[in-house]
Amino acid sequence: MDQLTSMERVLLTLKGEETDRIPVCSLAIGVARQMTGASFPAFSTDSEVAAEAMLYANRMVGDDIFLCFTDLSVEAADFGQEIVYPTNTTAHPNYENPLIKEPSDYGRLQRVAPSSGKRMGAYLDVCSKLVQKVGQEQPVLGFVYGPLGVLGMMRGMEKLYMDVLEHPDAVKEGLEIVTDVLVQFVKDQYSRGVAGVCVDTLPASRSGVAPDAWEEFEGIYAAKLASAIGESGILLAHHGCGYSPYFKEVKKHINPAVFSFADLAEGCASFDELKQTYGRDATLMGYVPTELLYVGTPMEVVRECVRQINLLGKGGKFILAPSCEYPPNTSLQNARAMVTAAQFFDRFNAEFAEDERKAA
Amino acid sequence: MSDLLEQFKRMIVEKNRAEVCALLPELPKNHSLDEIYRQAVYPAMNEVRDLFKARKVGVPELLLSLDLVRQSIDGLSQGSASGRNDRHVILGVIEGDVHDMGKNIVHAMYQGYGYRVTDLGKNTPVARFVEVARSEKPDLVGISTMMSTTVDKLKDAIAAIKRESGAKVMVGGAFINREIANRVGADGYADSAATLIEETDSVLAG
Repeated sequence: MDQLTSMERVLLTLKGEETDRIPVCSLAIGVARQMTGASFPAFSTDSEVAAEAMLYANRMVGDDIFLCFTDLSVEAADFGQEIVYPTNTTAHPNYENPLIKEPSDYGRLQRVAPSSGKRMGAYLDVCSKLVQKVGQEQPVLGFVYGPLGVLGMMRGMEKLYMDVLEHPDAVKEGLEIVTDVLVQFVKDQYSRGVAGVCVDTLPASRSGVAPDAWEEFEGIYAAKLASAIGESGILLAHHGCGYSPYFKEVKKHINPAVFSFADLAEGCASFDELKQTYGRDATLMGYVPTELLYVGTPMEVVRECVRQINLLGKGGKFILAPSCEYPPNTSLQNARAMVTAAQFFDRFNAEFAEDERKAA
Repeated sequence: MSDLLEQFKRMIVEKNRAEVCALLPELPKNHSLDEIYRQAVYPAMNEVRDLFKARKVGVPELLLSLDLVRQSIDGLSQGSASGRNDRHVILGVIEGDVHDMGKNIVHAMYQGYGYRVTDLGKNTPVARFVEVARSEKPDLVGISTMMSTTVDKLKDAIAAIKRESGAKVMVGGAFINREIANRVGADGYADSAATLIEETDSVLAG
């Protein structure tokens, strides 16, 4: 059983040192609201509700890292984007009423103070509450959506992507404004005591723009966030759940200590190569498919976790986590299965190896 | 192929909206619609798809070229050119999901390859899929979702569409993989725009 605290386990893992087991980050975010029966809207907007739900979910699941996150509309909401708060799913922009209706609107965005914003302010309160409750024993990570993603919430990704080609200067005007606000948002998270900040740059993958375009339209802006995080002396994590993520370009611009991912990095032919190329300097965090967490049995999840620990856990610097947010409308059972797989890895590994030997 | 058709094709692939718009009025003066499709639009679609498949372009370039194809088709035929092959597809994003970029790419791909497309938009109720499938008797219904929260609705929709119209159903979207497609009862699954047409051929041949 566990011999280290979560904080000890995670810190040793980041240093590449031996631990009692692989740490787990369940990314159980929206699903956490089930712990208290909270609604999606309350979870997104009420810091008390969100913090309480996340704390109870962590106690139920037993994972090691808190990713303080509610949904992707937080930053855009405070720029003035109208947000829809459905009762049965995650908050999202009203795409029928985008704040950026024309390319000329990018430059009209107003800089806002995150701590005064209704959503970013509430989010910062969630960070404070989690840090106060568990910050000594468990790492609490803040979160910021990347500049291109935030613009996409206010323009619609489809139009934003075409603007990148047809109105690049207008997009860059918007990126400058958004980045200034996000830099302050990161600093405010640090002032709330988070142990690190996770930067999400979804477009840095084949689900987004081409690698050179990512560098031009997000990499150089994300680098400003990385500088602010670095100056604060806290950990920088990166999340990108797209297809074939651009680790090389992300490393060049923000050099994260942790890569949270869903797919093999662009340019890597295998996960061995991924580990060799990126998993020595940085800690890899992934990549249990959310589809499996949704439809799989707990034992199917355990098998996949054991497979991934064998694949990526050698030599440390690996955190077991889903490929993206844990599915918010399913049970927490499979999140718990991930922790169980890590805790009883040796036993499961031996049993599964024996199964394979018999089958052969 | 004439120089005009070659240039038109090249401008779509190179995503040059101004040139495409300038060439559009000239095309019907020199070529039949059939020639324009077969010698310029389809080859342009093939080239764009291959570039995306080979990772030589990203989603923005794909979107822009497809937007130019859509604009060209509308301009050439005042909206009546769809249905150049005899297949009819109904598309929509399932109820509870408002992410429609993937569905819009699929729409443009089908349109560019001459399918007749009925687009029900995003956040489409199961009953609406069923109603339109029953009345229009399409060859295929394509349903998209990005999210895990809509999978139960997806399953309901597929069962009802098959029961009420007999149409084949394909699914796609960020949260879907082939296993989930099988579990919800879909006849097919396309993981990206690059494989859409081949998958569709396979599903409709089956």
